[in-house]
Amino acid sequence: MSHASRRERLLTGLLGGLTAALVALTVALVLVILARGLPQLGALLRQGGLGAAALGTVGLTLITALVAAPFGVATAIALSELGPPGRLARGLRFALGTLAGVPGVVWGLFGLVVFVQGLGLGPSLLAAGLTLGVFTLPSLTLACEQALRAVPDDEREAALALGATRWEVISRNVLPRAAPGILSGVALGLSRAAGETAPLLLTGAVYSISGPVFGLQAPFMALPHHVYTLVTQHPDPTVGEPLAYAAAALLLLLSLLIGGLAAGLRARLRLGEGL
Amino acid sequence: MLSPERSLAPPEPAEGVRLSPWRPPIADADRARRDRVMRTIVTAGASLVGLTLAALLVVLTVKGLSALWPIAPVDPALLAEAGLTAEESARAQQALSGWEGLSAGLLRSARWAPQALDTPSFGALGLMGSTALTTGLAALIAAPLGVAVAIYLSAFARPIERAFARPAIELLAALPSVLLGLIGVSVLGPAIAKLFGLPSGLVALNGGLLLALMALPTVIAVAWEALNAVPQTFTEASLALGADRVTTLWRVTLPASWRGLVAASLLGLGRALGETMAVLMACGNSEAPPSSLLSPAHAMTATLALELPGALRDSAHQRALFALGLLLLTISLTNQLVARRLLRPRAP
Amino acid sequence: MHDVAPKMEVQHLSVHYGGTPALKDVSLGVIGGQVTALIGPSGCGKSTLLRVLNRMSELRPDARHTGAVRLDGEDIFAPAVDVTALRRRVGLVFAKPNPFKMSLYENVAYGLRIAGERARSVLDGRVEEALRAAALWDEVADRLNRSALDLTPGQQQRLCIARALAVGPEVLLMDEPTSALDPVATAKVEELVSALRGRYTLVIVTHNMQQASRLSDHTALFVEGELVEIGETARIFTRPRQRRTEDYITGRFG
Repeated sequence: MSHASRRERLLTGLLGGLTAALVALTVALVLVILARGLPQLGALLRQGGLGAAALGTVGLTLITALVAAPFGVATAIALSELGPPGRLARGLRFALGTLAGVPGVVWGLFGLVVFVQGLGLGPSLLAAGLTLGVFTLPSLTLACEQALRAVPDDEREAALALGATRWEVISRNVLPRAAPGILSGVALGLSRAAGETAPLLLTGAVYSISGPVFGLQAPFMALPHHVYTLVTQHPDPTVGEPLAYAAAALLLLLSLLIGGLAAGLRARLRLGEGL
Repeated sequence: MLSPERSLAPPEPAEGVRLSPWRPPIADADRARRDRVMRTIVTAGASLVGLTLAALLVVLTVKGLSALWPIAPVDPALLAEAGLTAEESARAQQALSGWEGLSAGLLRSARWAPQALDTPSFGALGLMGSTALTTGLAALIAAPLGVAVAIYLSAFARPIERAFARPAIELLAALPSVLLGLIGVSVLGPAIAKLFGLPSGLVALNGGLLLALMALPTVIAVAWEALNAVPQTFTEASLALGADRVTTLWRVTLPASWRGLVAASLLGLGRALGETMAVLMACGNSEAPPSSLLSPAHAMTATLALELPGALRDSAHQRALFALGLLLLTISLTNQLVARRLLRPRAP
Repeated sequence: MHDVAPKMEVQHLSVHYGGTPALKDVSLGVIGGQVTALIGPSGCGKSTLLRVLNRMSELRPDARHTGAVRLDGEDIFAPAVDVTALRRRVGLVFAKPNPFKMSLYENVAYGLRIAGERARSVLDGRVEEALRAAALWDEVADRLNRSALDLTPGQQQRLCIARALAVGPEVLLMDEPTSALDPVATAKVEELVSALRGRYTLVIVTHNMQQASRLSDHTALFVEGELVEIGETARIFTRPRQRRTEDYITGRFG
């Protein structure tokens, strides 16, 4: 096709090179963490702590899901399906979009004041889970709303013309069609929440605990926090660092798992809707 | 016009069109009721979410502004219990209950030394300087680089290249910041130390580079969308007039999408602004404000994460930290709002 | 002339969408068991009137109306009226076929399922009856579980008709039902309309005058929201009483 000018070829080469470099860098980062971390997994498991930290992260993610998913989907439904676009709806959507960019540490502040102190939960798994839940809420809600809006209006109109109530249209037509997108949005939100450390620092994460590993109302361990502590506070960096890589590798695998699920769902959605 | 004759007598129903009688099993009123109930539940959920978002702003503002209020002195009995002498008590009182005009000092001093017993200082300017340094470096790297990649992916890449690039960028975006902090400490740090002959590589440069990596996916995603939003007719017209793709890019695509590209940079900056772990782990956390990229830095986010767990409840230190948090929130929100303003669709 | 009361009656109906008038003081009767065609240039309000008849006009939040619309003498906008029940009695087929992204079976059974029908035998029976009534059964009987989106547009439209028929309406509204179809599919749908006549009351919006004159018993011409003339089709097309009617059917405008 081209008698592309020399300028064009130069530019294309430069830009393409940058892009390729970025992709390569990303892959390299992942590989470094896995390569340095996976062999160490055994050591960290033996030393104890990794299991508890992993359980802590799983528990946190579950609480986050229980908080963010129902409310996020409900809000998405309210914004997308119910009622005329009043000022309230527009305001809510605006607030969601803007607050989606609030730093995790600021949500940690909120969690500290409201959940740890205000509700008296103290530094605990529950407080941290609730904090991560509200942290995830704005972006999750917006992703779900997008999924709902992607369902064409034709489907809603046809259902309404058959006498369906709004809720019947939502539950029988819109939600089933938007399900992959919604699940993807939830998975994405959870994957982000699982990797957050700052809110945990402010709401009760610790390096090690004695006693029951899974107390809701007690300080807890979590993978990202474990990585952080191993790097910054282990007395012997030659020991601490490899262990940190092990925890990091585990966290990375967890993130990739959930994130990959989300990406897979999105790809299926793109194919399914015949785009 | 055709005018077929039509019989005026009532027509005979055709065969097979008649359906057998049928009654709906569920009464319509019941369906209407269920509809109302579900809609109320959903609306209630959404309202709760709205309230929570409002609560974030309210709580942070109230706590942040609490630095303006004078602090009650600590109960002397508590201090006596802790075994402090009278002199130590007096100094502890001063440290814990501070210092009027806390918030005024926040923006007037660069010295952040909340733990200093004789002259605690809550000047945030130094912290803001650290944040500005690291974030500024990140933006300086991520904005042009991100736009460049977005240009490539939007205008020049082959579909297979896009198919590889998109997941890679999503992967980069999904990397938890604590992991990048780990890389900063264990890989970048030694490299920087060796390159510049420093005792430690945990400096602003380190954090800035990591932040650039984290900001890149945001910049690329938003810039890509902005470039794609330029109507194809524009570029086609330019090419049809004989311009090559470089000229078209320079004279048509970029001018048409500049708002989106600036917004992309701002959003990337916002992402870097809010990051905590990477700067916490990789920048060294000194008390003094940084003098250059090669000195340690103490970003606002890192300060919050580091010092809040230890700050005594309702002490001057804690109040100062909340004020810092409010400051951070304000900067972050302002940045967001400006970016969104730029992204608003305009009539062509 | 018929002495029976009209199946549906529109009395001094005016409709506004956020201040813009769509229908101005329209009064007409729809005779039961017959086909009434609504014709007129684009934007004349014929689609608006159609949608008012089963209260689909309410979907636009800025819709306002004055006047009355009656089904068998009862005001359909009365507060006591359940919109669900109304739309079961007055069905609507859209211009662009819009089957649900489900199987053929589920599409036709949809109206029954939402009303709570679960008996498999009843559903099976009615799905078959409705598909037969829509002249589609023979073509799809062996693939009821396939996705409805796999059908040709003509088949999809007949599926939508079957879906509407399954709930047992008395009136069937059709908004330019063949405008998205090729001539062969159009002919099949027109055949179907003729077959449905008598058992159902049909109101069809069409911009195709030949179609109107082929299919309908009565024709109403709308221009800019006003009802210009209504009467028996044969007379409208041969001896129109209004100047504008004559202009429209001879193609001087629209």
